[in-house]
Amino acid sequence: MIKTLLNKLKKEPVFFDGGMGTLLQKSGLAPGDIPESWNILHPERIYQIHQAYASSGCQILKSNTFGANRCKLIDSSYSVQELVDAGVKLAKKAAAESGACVALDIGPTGKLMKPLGNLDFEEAVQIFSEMVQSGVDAGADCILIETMNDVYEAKAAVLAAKENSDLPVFVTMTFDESGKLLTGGTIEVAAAVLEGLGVDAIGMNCGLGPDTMLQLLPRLMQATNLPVIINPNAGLPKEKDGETVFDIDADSFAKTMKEIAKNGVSMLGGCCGTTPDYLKTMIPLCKKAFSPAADHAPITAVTSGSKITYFEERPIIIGERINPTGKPKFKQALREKNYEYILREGVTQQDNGAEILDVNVGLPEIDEDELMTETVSRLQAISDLPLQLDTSDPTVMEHAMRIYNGKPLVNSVTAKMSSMNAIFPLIKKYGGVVIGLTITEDGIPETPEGRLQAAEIIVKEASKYGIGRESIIIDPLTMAISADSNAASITLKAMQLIKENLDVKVSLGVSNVSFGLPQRENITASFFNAAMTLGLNAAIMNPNAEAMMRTYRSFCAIKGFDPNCMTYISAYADVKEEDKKRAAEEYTLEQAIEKGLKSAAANAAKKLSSAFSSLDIIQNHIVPALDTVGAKFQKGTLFLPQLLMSAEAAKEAFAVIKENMKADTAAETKNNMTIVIATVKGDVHDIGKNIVKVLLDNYGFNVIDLGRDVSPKTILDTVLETNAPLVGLSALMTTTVPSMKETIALLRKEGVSCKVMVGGAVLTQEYADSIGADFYGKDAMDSVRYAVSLSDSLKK
Amino acid sequence: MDHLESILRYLGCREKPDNSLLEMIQKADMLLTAASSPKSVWKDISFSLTDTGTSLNGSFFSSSALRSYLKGCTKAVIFAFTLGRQIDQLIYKYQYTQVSMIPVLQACASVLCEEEGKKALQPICQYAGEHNLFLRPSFGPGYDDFPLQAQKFFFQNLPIEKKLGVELTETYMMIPSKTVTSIIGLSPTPYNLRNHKCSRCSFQTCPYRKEPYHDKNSSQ
Repeated sequence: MIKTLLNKLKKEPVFFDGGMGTLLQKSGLAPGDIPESWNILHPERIYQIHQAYASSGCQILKSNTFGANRCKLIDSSYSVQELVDAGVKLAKKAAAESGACVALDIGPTGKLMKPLGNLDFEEAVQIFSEMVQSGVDAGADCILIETMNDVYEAKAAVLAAKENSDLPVFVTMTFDESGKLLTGGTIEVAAAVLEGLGVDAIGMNCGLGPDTMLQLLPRLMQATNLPVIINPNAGLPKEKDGETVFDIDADSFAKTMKEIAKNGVSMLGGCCGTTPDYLKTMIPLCKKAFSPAADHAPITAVTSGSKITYFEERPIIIGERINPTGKPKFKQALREKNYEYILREGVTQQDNGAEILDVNVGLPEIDEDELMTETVSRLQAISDLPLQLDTSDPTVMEHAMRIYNGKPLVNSVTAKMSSMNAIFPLIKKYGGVVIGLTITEDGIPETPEGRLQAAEIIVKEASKYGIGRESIIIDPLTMAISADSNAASITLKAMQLIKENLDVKVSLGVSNVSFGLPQRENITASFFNAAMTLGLNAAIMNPNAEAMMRTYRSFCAIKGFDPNCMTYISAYADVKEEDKKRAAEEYTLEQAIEKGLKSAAANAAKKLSSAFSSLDIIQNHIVPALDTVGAKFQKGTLFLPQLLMSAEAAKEAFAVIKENMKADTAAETKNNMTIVIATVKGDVHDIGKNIVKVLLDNYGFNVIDLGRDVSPKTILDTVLETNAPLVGLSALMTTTVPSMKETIALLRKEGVSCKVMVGGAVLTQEYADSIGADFYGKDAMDSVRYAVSLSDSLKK
Repeated sequence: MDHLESILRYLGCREKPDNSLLEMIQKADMLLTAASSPKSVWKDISFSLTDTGTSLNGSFFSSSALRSYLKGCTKAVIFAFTLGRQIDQLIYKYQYTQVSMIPVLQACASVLCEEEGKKALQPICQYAGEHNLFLRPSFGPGYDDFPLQAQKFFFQNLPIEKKLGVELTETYMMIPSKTVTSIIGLSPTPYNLRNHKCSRCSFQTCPYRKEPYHDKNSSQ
């Protein structure tokens, strides 16, 4: 039945029902009550509502299961299975009489996804899977994932739906007046991600009335060729005599919905505030006005959770620096799981103009799977750029694509069957745009025509999976001209042939062209310019290389891709920076640290390194400067931001010194006391703890940061494992300080001899004493002083 | 208190800040304004005062501070406001790129939250005006003896999760962090600001405290 409805969508619209929650409130549902519990407590009322919608002409009834997930039922005596089963069956009973279908209705979990919240992606998939399994068993005809305000959570729900059923899946998101989700994602981002995941229809519901949805509609229609769903509220909620009422009546609602149907929306219904009357008025008008939407050219785009990057005429820069090849420091960072270093590489490239970041963390001796997923998660927490997932291991690729928030760029597939068999199913399941390298079973074709044929193989094989050309970017491979002087022209000719014959976008890793030559940037920049002139859509390159970016920004300005030359101007108009740098060189290391000047500190450290040992510089210059700054902070003559600026400057100096240090000296300069720090269980605010960590790092302590929301057991285990003489615990709220008490009690019970220092906004000396803490730090510097004194006493 | 003064107060600056700090404040203000997405919800709520506490829409709270706050009010509304999720994301990003900006961003975000929160009270002012009533300063969970656990009541009675995208954790923390919930009493006479006393505030380690704390029993 549902399939029949969907097959006819080009000819006639289909109608969802309207609001459920607002009707239940009118029937006596009290604040705090679980609406889904009425499936068992008041089944007759739920059935009546479904029946009223069915007899109003609604063809898809939404089961009363919106919040029947384990997070929301935590205090309920009913299980997910009981409420979903009863909810779907009640809707089925009402639907049977009119021949309507039933959608298993799934709303958000109510928990925020990591990293902002604490909900892990796989846990979210599991939560939704429980609902889907119960809904399928109860006989749902399709699945409606609705009122989603985060594409990442929607992705978890879609995967749960697809992995546990064969039913059609529809998703509607809730946008604000500007077409934004609560996460900052846009209509275009949501459409790209959901279309990539292979859902059957997408749309908007709740939050807005039909008028605003009509205004936003052209953006949604432009962003997708899928059937579109519009389920608005009955206008905006208003407060009237202590009751929430909606400001649009059934006639006005129907009038706007008619316009929406006229604009090609084939699936229509209502949300909060709408009643069977609204639907009854709207349905005949919409049926009459419906005009199917014309398909438009598909879009090639990738996204993060909040930002979309289109591959159009203007070339896109894909930053290549998160890659260990030829970078000893990066390799070391990977081995040490030094994510801070990796994340900095990402932020620097973004600041320098990258629009997508390539992520390659493959090293033979490391666990690439773990590093890849962790790097992707952490990078997505601090950067809104879409990522290019770059690995040759299909298992690593699948895990990364799964947990990725958005629609990724996938690097890469070749024209070899083994590669296509491994990668295309992943693109089909998770969505993404894939870079297709023109490598066949016989290697890299030597002629432009050979590379075109390789590209054809990729495009043809992809189509067997239902993957369109918009999801493929061909890379005709840049080879070194030092090995073959025709290499660059073959690549450029291949690129032209591929663009002309295959209607796909093209990209190149441009740097390779100059391999083996002196002054490489001359050649690379020239080749890059030639490729852009011939229509290159994306380049994988180093955005920190100024010559390359100069070529790129100039090209964009000349081609009219840079409106009013604003990007060019903002990059090159400010010449004062150089003057600042020159002035910075004149500070001593102590002055630079005290003033919090990073580049000046680095320069001063460099100068000192030629005359003094590393140990000398640390003991006689850096530590005294930090002590001076710390004393001023405690006196109240210098403030926290300045204290931290000094810490950052000292860190720059350390980085310079480290480069010149031998391994044995490095060990000597490290204050070898280990400190385990954590924000306690239940507490998600870790800024205070992170500030303490920065300062402790400065003083050379070996700080093990367990993060936030850490259980007493994890803290105990880490202390036992590392034999740390000091533990630092942080808690922000009166409701989370009991976890601090619990942690200290466990450490004491297990006979661990470490000292415990505590801090946090609501703590007092009195409370710290009462829970058995050894030290209460009223601010970050206080904790550092305590750690230093403990370390000194242990050395004696 | 003006904007900059409030930020400096949050930063604990009692002396004139130098130019570098002022530049950081300027940058933080700009970044936060771009990242903020203020949203609010509110509704009128029935209440009654008893000898032992306050009943709000059928839920009972024994807080004596809440009872004295609502004394003299003829109406009350509950209100929730957030600056949105991107604020937390912005602050998180700076933990990796420039940690010295964190306290500045925190201070500026707190001030922005207060300022935007005040603007969001406009419809409530209008509602009060329609009933010839005056707004009292907001009173929220965590103030005095009104427990943080009362957050649950706000989440049950307002669509905070759905409309504001805010999660209440099991430990009664709200994510995103720049979110406030409060009850606002509406009374026929303007509120006397002198009723706000340091001695009633339970933030005992506040650097600006002028009077010692008196607990709920002694304040009655």
